[in-house]
Amino acid sequence: MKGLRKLLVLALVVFAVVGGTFVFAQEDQLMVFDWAGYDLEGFWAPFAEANPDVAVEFTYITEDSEAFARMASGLETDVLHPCWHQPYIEAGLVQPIDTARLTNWESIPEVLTTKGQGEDGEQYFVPHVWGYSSMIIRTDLVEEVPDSWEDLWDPQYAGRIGIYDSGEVAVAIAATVLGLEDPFNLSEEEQALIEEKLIELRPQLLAFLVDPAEMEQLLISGDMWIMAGGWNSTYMTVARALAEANPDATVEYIAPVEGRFGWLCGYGISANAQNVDMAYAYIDALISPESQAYLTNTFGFGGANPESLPMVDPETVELLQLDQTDILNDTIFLPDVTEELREAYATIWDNVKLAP
Amino acid sequence: MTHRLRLGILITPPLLVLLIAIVIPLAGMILFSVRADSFNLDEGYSLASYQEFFTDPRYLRLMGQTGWTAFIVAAVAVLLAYPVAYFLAFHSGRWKLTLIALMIVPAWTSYLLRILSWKVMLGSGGLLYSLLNGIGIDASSLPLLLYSPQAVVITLVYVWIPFAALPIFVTLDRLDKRLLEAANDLGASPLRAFWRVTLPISLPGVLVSFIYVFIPTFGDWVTPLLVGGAQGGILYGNIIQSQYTRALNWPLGSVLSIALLVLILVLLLLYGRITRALTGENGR
Repeated sequence: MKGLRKLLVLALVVFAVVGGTFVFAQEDQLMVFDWAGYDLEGFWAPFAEANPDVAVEFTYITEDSEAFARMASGLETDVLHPCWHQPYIEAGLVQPIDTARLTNWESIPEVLTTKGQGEDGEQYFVPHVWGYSSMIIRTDLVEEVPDSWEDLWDPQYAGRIGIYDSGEVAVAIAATVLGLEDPFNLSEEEQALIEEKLIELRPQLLAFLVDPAEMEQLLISGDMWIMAGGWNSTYMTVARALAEANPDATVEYIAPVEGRFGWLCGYGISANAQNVDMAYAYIDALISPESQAYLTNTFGFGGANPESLPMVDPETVELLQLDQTDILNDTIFLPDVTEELREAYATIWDNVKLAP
Repeated sequence: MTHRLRLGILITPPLLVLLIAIVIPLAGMILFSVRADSFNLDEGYSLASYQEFFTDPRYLRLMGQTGWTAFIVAAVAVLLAYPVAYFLAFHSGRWKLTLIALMIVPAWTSYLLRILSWKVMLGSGGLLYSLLNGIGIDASSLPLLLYSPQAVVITLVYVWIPFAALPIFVTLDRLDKRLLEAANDLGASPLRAFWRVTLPISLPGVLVSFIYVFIPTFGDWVTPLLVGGAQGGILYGNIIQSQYTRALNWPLGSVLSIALLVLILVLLLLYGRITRALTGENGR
């Protein structure tokens, strides 16, 4: 009995010490809610250098409506990186940003910064990255290379099309194909039309995808011929992998005749952030020219800070037209989502999946 | 220390766990199901989500379709698990424990990993296609196996076989071997002895296995999500998940979950009746 009691006491002491260190270690921790890929240290190297004691912990965003749902239901984080902004501002989930605390703020063009402002004129999000949602095509596997969004409905591609599992992008595609006047201001009849059009698309689809690695792997293996709503990063990764492993294969990132979609994501600070100072330092590091150059060179995305351009690979810039930060004119820019639009996306996309 | 006090101390922690992990969340779900809005309490309470569930045929249709899928998965898993259990109970000899351990070992790896491994097996660059190519069949002309309803069934059957084999094994292992000797003495062929003696006695185990597989499959959403693709990837659980994590319609998500719970409770009661009928009113 006595031996047992000693053992118990010892276990308690060990537990207390280990637990205590753990809790203590938690103090220097920055929590970041971000898309997979942005956790690479190349992005936040300047932050890591300046704050070697801070552990950066990531939680992953897979899709915007899901990210918003998680924040709205109480996810704890310091920094977040969504591509929808207004819903967070309206719901009071983010705090205003004091741009004077960001040394790289002045470099960001105004055409982008206005996108992160609330109706009260305050800045809530710091523009960070922009890119396309377009079509990535294994041109060696298709008989005819599609050139418009409408081709997704062509039976010759049946069962070989992957689509980004997001109501937002699917609705934008259908609205564009239907030629709706304003694809982002939808009446009820228009929503019904879109739903019907997307239900027709469903038999054409191989899979609804959210994981970038899965999209890449399917394109590389050739199981998927077309990735609808694919990003610059997926294209870059697949092109590099194929060039190495399968020189006969070709992949193209096309701009459909109706236009490609453009998006912009920014960093915000959560309203319940524990570590506001670190959050500012982190965001400032991510809009530094070095980090932004890493962004373009690694993923082929456009950086919000044009001072990074001299440091990026000119071929990438030319290939993806990244030197013109006026994405608002060059693409069908996915506008910021309102509450009505958010609900419409969710309902339509759910109905498409529920269809027999 | 009185007996009652000691009992109280012993029973409190499990009761607390039950309360915190099951009773409170269930109550929360029921509360959410009658709320008018996910987060805004000012909107008050309403039965609109229940109305939506019962008036929209698509939810019930998907429930039926998912039940059918779960039935197939459970039936195939039990069918494949029975010979495994039979072998373990009657022919494994001194290797019995080792073999059971071997069967259970894969179940110790992550559920997710086991599902993902089937992506490797079923993909067009995967094992199955290489095998077909190896024996001279051009697999590139075949439809893709991965991302289909069949892929969901195959993966789930694989995942559940060890769990389905155990209850059958237990009933077979407990079977009084003298009964089989008696059948033999009375002139029954081995097949007839199996049919008239072994199988009826093991039926309760078979039913337990079936229920073990059927219930979790009914609510599963990870497997369809990972291997079902656009054609097989939407089962009932996926719609519940989507109501919570995307549509932000927690009331409807709660109603859908409650409907599933009620259905499974009814099936369990039914199962209890059947087992009692099988084993005689007094049980064994």
